[in-house]
Amino acid sequence: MKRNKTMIAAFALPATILFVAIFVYPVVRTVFMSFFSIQEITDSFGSWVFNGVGNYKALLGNALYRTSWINLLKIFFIGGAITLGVSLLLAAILKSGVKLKGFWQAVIYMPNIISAVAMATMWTQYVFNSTYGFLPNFFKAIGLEPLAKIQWLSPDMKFTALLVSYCFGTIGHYMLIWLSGMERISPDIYEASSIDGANKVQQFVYVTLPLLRGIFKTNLTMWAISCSGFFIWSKLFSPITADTSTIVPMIYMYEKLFGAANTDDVTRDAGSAAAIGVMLCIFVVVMFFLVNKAIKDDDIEL
Amino acid sequence: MKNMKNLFSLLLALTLTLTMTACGGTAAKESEPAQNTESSAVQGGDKIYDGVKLVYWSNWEATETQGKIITEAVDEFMAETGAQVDLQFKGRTGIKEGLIPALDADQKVDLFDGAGNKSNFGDRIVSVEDLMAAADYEKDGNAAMMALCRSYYDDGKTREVPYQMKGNGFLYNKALFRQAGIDSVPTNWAEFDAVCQKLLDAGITPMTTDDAYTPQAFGIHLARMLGTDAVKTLVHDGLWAETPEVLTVAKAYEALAAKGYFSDLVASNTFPTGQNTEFATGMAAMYVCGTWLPNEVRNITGDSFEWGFFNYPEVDGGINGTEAMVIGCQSFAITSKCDNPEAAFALIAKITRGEWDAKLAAGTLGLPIDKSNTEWPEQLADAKPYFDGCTEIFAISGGLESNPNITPALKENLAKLYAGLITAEQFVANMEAASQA
Repeated sequence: MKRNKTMIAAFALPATILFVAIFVYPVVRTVFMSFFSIQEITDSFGSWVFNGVGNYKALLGNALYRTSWINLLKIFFIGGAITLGVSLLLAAILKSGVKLKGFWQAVIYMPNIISAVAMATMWTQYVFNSTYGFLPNFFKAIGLEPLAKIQWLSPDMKFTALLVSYCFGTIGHYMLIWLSGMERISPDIYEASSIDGANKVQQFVYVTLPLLRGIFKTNLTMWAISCSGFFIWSKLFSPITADTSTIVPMIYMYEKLFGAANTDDVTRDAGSAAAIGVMLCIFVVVMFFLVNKAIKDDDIEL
Repeated sequence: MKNMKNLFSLLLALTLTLTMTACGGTAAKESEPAQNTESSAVQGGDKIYDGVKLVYWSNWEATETQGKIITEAVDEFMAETGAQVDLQFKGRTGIKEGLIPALDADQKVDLFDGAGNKSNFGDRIVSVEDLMAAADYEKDGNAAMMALCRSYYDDGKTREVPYQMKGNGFLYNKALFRQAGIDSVPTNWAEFDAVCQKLLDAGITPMTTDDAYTPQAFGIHLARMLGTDAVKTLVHDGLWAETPEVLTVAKAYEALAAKGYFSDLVASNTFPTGQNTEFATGMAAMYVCGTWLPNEVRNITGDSFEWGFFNYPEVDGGINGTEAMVIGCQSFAITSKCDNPEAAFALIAKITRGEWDAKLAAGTLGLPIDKSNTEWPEQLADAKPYFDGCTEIFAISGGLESNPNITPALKENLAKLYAGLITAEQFVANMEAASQA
């Protein structure tokens, strides 16, 4: 028995060391850094100046930073409702026995295998562009002039444009997860409900949805993680310098850490960037906690 | 049997651990000779830097014109001096994000280039004053650029060597100006207004911009009235409502928008839409930007585009004129890791003086830094008198973008002002609110 413990320790040690070095140390260091004034992320410890919760107070007192969180929460809630709702609907349609299921599945998933940079460029330059973009020309072709005149990338519309394009790109991913959950539900349950007189809608509401609670929890948690790391789409919708309509905490963190563009002010603030990282981490943990509290695990054996 | 199993397990664990250790060890061993080579000059060659190895990180890409020309210059330098130069193209983000961590991790980088103002590098870069003095380097330099580079450092000693000079003003399409019957560039605001009206009358959209560049015109206008330092102060202290000149400039732009001088798409132009699809294609006549623009859009404009440049016009009630402008540069720096700063500086001088400076300017449609290279690319020839006569340097956008926390609100409200979606008073109120929040 004693030998086995040694053996377990011997096997666990390399992985533990790697885990501590790659995950635990950076997390602890980031939390620690967030309480100091630090210019560069690799500045020596001797040059760090203790700042208490000063970084947090300064960030929360900054209007642009608060705006970045408002944008993030809008993406989380509105984008989440759109993405998870539409992906669930598409999964239900595909599960209902539609013809060419594999083809549609591949088509809907396709945006996920294209680089986010290419996708965002396609949306900004070839869909929303006011001169030759798809949307203005499409609406013009079908005679909807008021819609054709919408400037999708103007300050008032940019967030909507960003949200629509981001959701479009992610729906396929969540649809596949919903679909995998639906595949786990036994056909016998549908058959039994059908014999009891339930139509397709009733089956979806009273059979499918309750049995997808676990998947819903997974999707919500993954959506929270994905939102907290929202960066590339925002950067490509507002290249060079940030916009109020598209800025998110990760963009703000990047500018703190590596400096903003188009300015003579080259100072950097790794301490504040670390504080933003900590707050984003707390956001994910809180969302995870709330989701777990709100949604109970599946209590039905499938 | 059980003992055998345990023995195998132990051996497996040991193998795994040793393999990982060995992997780390190999890498360390491989890097050792390189470091030794880098840090010591092999004696016995007949060229000045025989055996010297330099690691040079460039902020260009190998496929960019700058990258190609620098590669050729480095090859020639190596052939002439015997030095070995490890030229690595890191791109803008590679320098911005990766260089300081690399230096702090004791990675050997001797010199690098990148955007001007490297003051955030602190003692990771060294003063080049002595090296410049020893080589009498400044005699062919641009005095304004040298002053700018020194201004970044508290002790007034520059850590950077300027090259690829640039300046901001109105880039314009001469063919469209001619079509509208305009034969001279505006030097004051009234003339500018008249030029815009003539263009409009000729059915030409006078000007456009992109979201990232919206602060440039407004900021330079404000700096004409207040001076660049005062603009920086107002942006940092949020004195939008307290500074009457802000409303004056906003009213000037409100008037331009009301007269239809801006493109209808100005509010939705996300960089580089305006410069590429409106200005470079000849749909708009003017675009406030930097002298890098001809190079950036050369694949769209081709060689037939007739480039013009004029400095931001003088304005009523202004305290400076066209002798003041936004100019800046790229620059080189030598790191504190460099064992042979003389060799590094010799390479920098090779690229920034004489033949290679001229080649860089010609190849990139850029501006030479060497005074003796008097031939400027035809596309930017109009800019030369302004550079030669420049006695006052404005900060980027006249200082209007010196507070990154307020720039997003500024961009949004300027786009709306240029598009005629808000009034001058609303602009001031919005900026005041954004600063107070």
